[in-house]
Amino acid sequence: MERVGIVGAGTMGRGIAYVAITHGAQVTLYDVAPGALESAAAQIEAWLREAMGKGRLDEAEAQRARERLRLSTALEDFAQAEVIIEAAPEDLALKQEIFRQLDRACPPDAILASNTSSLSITALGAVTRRPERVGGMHFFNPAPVMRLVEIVRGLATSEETLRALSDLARRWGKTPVLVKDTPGFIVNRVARPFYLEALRLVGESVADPSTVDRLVRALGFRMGPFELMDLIGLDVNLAVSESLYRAFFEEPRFRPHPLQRQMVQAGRLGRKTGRGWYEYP
Amino acid sequence: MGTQPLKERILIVGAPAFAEDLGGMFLEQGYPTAVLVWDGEPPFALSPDLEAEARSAALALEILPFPIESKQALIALLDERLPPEAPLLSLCLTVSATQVARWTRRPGRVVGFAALPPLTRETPIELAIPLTGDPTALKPAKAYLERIGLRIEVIRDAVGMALPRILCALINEAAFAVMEGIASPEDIDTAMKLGMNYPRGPLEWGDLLGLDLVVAILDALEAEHQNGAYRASPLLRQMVRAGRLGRKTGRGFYVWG
Repeated sequence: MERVGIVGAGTMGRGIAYVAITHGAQVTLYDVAPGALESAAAQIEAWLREAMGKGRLDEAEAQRARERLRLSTALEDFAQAEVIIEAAPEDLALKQEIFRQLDRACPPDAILASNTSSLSITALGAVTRRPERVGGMHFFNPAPVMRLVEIVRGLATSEETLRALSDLARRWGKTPVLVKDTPGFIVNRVARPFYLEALRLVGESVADPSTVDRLVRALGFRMGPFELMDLIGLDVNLAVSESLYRAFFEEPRFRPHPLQRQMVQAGRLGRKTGRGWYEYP
Repeated sequence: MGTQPLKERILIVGAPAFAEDLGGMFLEQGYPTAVLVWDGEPPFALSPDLEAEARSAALALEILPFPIESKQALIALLDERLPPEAPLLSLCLTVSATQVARWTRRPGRVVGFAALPPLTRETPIELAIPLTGDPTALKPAKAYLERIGLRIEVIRDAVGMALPRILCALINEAAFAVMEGIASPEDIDTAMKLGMNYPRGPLEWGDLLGLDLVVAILDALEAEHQNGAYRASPLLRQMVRAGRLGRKTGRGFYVWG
C-alpha cells in the first residue's frame, strides 16, 4: 500500500485521487481554494456510486476506498507521503513554488511527480534539492477512464524514479509509456497535425469541415478533427497549438492556423458555447 | 432463362496489391475487368495487352503512386488508346489531378482519386476534377465506384488530397519523435491509441502504407507548399534507403512476420 499526496482537487486531481483510492493507495488530497475539496469529495462519491451501480465495486470495497481518502489544506500532511502528484493549474511559476514547498514538506526520499501536460519537468525539478526524484506523471481526462499515463523523464530524473512511477501506474490499472521531457510529450505533440492539417485543408478550400470529418471517421477514427476541436474547446486547442509552436522555436510543422484564432475571436469555442465548427442547439 | 446485360469493360493498371484489390471489387460486381500490374520500374512491359484492353475499356483506373515519369508515360498511353468518352481515373497521392490532366490531350476525361492502401470496401475514396477538367466527368466516375460499394467524397483538387495529407503529417511527426529518441515506436503508437482513441498508431500506419509512399507524399507536399511544414523526417529517408519500407519488405518501424 502506498501513501500518496495529491496537490490540486480540480478535474485531474480528483480523478487521480479516485483512481488511487480504488486501487489500494492511501491518499491525501490537498487544495486551498474555497470549496474545492468538498466539490472533489462529492464527485469522488458520485464515481464510487456509479462504479457500484455498474457492479465494478461492491459496498465493502467502496467503503474501504472512502476510508483511504483524506482531505487536507496543509502540506505538512504530506510528511509521511511516498509519492506526491501535483495537479495544479498549468502555470510554471505557480508549479515551481509548489515544488519548492513540497521539497521542504515531504520526506527527502519521496518522489515528486507533476501531472503537467505542457510544462517542463526539468524546470520543476530544478527548483528542488532532489531533481533525480522529480518526474512527470501525465494522466488523461477523464482520469478514471483513460488508461494512458505518460511517464516523463526530466533531464535529471533517475531510472529508479521512472521505474517507481511506471510501476505505480500499472498497479493503478493504467498503461504507462515512457517519454523524454520535450514539448507536448508524445500525445499533445504527435496529435498536432491531426488538427493543423485539417485546418490547412479547410483554409485552402480543399474541403469543408464536415467533409474532412466524414473522411477521417471513415478511416476508423472515432471523431473527426473538427468535431474533436469542438469537444476539446477551440480556445484550449489554440492555446496548446501556440504553446507547442513557441516551445519548438517556431518550427513550421507546428504553426497554428489563422482560422483557429478567428473562431476563438468570434467566441465560437465549440460545444461549451453552443457553436464551434458545428452548432449545438 | 434470362441473360445478364453485358456490363462495361473496366481497365485497371498499376501498383500490385492496390490494382488487384480494386480489380477484385469490380469483378465481384460482375464487371469484365482487366488488371495489369506494373510497379512503375522501367521497362514499360505492358503492351500489347494494355493497348488492346485500353481500346475496349469504358473506364480506366491508373494506380501508380510513383515514379512520376512512369506515371506520366502510362497516363499518356492510356489517353491515346482509350475510347474518347471513357473516363480516366488517376491515383493522385503525389501529383494533383490538374497535373495529370496536363499529361493528356483530353483533360475533360480526367478525374483524380485518392485512397490509401490497404484497400478495402471501407476505405474512403476522395475524388477531384482537375482545374482544367469537366465537372460532368465526376458523375460516371462516382457512379462506378459507388456501384462496387466504395464511399466517395468529392473535394477540390490539391496535391495529397485530404486524408493522405493528414495521415502522412501524423506519421511524419511520430517519425520525428522516434528520431529524436523521445520515446520508443511501440510507446508512441500505444500513446496515440490509448490517449487519442486512434484506430492505429501512426508508425504502424506508416508501415502499412509503405514508408516510401509516405516520403513521396511528403516530398510532393513540401514541393507544392514550400513552407517547411511537410519536411520529411530524416529518419524516414534513412529507412527508405535501407529498404525498411514497412510490411511489404518485412521491416519498417516494426518487424512484420
